[in-house]
Amino acid sequence: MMQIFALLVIPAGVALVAWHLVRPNFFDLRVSMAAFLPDLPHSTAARNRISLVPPVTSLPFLLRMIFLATIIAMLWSHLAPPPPTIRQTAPPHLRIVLDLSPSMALAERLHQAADVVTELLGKMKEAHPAACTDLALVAETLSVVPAAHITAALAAAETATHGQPATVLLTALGQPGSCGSNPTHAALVSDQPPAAQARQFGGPLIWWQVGAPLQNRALEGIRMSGGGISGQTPKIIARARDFGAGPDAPVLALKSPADSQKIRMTRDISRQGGWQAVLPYAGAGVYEISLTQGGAYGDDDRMTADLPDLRGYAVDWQLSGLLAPVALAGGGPGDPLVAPLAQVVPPSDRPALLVYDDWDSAGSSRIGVFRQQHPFLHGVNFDVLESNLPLGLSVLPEGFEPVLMSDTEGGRAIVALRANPRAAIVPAPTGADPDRRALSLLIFSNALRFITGADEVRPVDARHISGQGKVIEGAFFESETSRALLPPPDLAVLKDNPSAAAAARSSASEPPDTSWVPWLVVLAAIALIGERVSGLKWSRRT
Amino acid sequence: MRRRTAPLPLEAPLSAAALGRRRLQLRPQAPTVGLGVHRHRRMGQSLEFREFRDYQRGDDARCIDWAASHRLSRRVVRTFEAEEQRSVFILLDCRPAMRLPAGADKLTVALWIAQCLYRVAQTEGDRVIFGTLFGPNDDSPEILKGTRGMKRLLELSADLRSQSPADEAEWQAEPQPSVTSLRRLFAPASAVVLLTDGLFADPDGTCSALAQAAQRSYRSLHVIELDSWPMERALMKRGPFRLGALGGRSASAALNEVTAQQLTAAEDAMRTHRALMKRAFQGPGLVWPTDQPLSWPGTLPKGPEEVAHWFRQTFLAAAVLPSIWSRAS
Repeated sequence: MMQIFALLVIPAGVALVAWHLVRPNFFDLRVSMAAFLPDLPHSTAARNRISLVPPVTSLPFLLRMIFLATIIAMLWSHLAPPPPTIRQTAPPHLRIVLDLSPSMALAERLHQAADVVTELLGKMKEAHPAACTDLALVAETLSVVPAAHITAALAAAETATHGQPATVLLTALGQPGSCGSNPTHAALVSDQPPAAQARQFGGPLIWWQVGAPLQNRALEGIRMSGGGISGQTPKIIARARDFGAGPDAPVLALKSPADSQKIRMTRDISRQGGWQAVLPYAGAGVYEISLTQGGAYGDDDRMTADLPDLRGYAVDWQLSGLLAPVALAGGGPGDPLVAPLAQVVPPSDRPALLVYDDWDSAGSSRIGVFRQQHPFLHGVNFDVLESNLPLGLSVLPEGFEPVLMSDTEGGRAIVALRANPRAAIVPAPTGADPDRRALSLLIFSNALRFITGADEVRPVDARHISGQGKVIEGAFFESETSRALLPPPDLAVLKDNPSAAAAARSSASEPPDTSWVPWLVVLAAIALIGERVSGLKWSRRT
Repeated sequence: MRRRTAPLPLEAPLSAAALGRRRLQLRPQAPTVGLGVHRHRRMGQSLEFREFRDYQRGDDARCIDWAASHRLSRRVVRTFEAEEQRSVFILLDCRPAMRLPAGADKLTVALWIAQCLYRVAQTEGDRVIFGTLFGPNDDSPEILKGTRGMKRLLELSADLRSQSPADEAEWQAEPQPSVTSLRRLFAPASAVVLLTDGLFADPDGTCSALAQAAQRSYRSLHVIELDSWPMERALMKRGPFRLGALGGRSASAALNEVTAQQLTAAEDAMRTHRALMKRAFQGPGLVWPTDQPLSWPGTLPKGPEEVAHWFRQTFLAAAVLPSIWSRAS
């Protein structure tokens, strides 16, 4: 701090003051009657270029000082180190964070972690006898235990039921504890690999990974496809992931509303270690799937989902001239709307397929711009379309964008689309002409499939459950039990100076507040303009 | 810290209305000295009465004023002014010394006066010729007419002001006048107005000869003397100074001070020089009120506006104006 002050502020300030002190006690003069002046005597006055009169009454001087001060203040936030967050005399503070996620219950991981905590306590005592140490237990809840109760806490420690990511462990570093200060040193004991965000802790940080690799398999999720007007049989796709369990295909046990069966999964080559199985759809109801050989961690082996009826997709059909497809079910105001554009206001809260009757003017214009490979135009013969092209809409409702336009009047929309919620505007199906009938039904059908999502694979709200049927949140966070075990870390960093650790932490975790820099820029600009304006004031040349 | 001096404005700080009012005030007056721009010693035939004169043999008998002859008990004839286009020749001294004192330089003030004279001449329909002495373009005086002439005069003014000496050597140089072209443009019965500080040297008599030529053929020469001595004297009293080069005198590296006796001596020397110049210029049509020059204020002005204010007050009351603008009609 003082070095910056000495290097930046003092020289600049002194230079500015010195600049204003340069006031000679003489002046240069040229007179028009010089030829009539006799030889002038030399002055006896000493020639001084600097006057010690303080320039504080000079407005330009004050404006320049303000300008200089604002510039220095702007630089200050970048050059000056932030104030230390702890006192230089504060003793070291080691925060040990113990991961009590469900996977820590596997094998001897919890016991190994307890041994590691004990070793860390000893090493810290050896490095800093006056150090304060506490233990943060991260299970469903977070609790910080003072050093005196660590042994008892380790003996009573129980792992959590729900899974959690490794980054949750880092939140324990900011929790207040019995030491009364922020941690200067941190040690995290977990079976998870180190989280990248751990580097944000400025002081020495140890990530001690425990637990030998264990084979595991986990269910990832359930998806559905088909049904509705897609023309395909509804099916359920179950996905699993292999974590070092070998090449044998996992077997899936399915309990559907109709029956129970076992299905061997097949390799999903699109994902590393991925398996999948196509399950038969047996109507709406609760489906439960489980891996018969799930590996080390068991709470990720079983999932359940309540599937809807995929054979009838509810639609609010308001077209009088066209019957709804049999694959659709009758719907109400909350379901996707199919209606003439002229009779409804395009709903903004639900999908919609709106049609307009414009075939009477067909054939009078040509195809303009359009989107290539758009689902609405799938299978459309453009030659036939151009010879039967409707006039189109000159104005689209809010939120719609054209997919295909005519070249009439600079472009009118024939087919339009709204992304969210899905909606489309297409020419109404007509029976007047075979070509027009085929065209209109094709475009209408494409649009209907689009707004009902008939051709898509849809995720299903499926949840992991334990063997007792209890829902397990975040189970997949715990599934990677076969990761390589890192070697024990170097504990020499525990000997680092606490003040250096705190300073490093402060600089790393608390970036300087620069929100006021723009205001300083404004102030500097005002001072500069003021100084320039004051320079316009006329003064006599000597 | 030293600041640049704000320049005086290029255009004269006197409105056309103020000039017109002053012109009307002076119009009915008969000049006490000289003949002015619109009064000539040439007789002619017009409706403008000039004077009574004793009848001489050969005079037209129709010109005898019988009533006046009866009153005077002798025969007198009426004489009349000649009607012709009048000319004003504005001659500007452009020596480096005219660019002083800084901040209230004589050159700019002379250019302001030239603009005022042109405005009045334009109102009267007179022809105006603008030329320079001791300047780089002495040989190319220009005839100015109408509103375009005013614009041209401003351009010439800007050019003259921009040709300031670049270094001490140029300040020290003593330029020589070139008067051949000037004399050629002296029209009969015209008024020549010389704007100068009257401190130029004339060792070979060039300027004196030009002055004499300016008074022949019913012409008159009006010298508007610009005296900045009061202000420059105040400048020299401010403290030690380094004197810059000018007009043959080199720059001084040492600090100088000036005494009251030296100032008085310089003042006497200038007065003597101007008297000598006036004597050399003396002719039938010279108007040079050396005792009433256009004097600068004895205090240092704070800005261009103060100089402009002084000009407005001083120029309209200048002693030389009646001789230029009055007209017995």
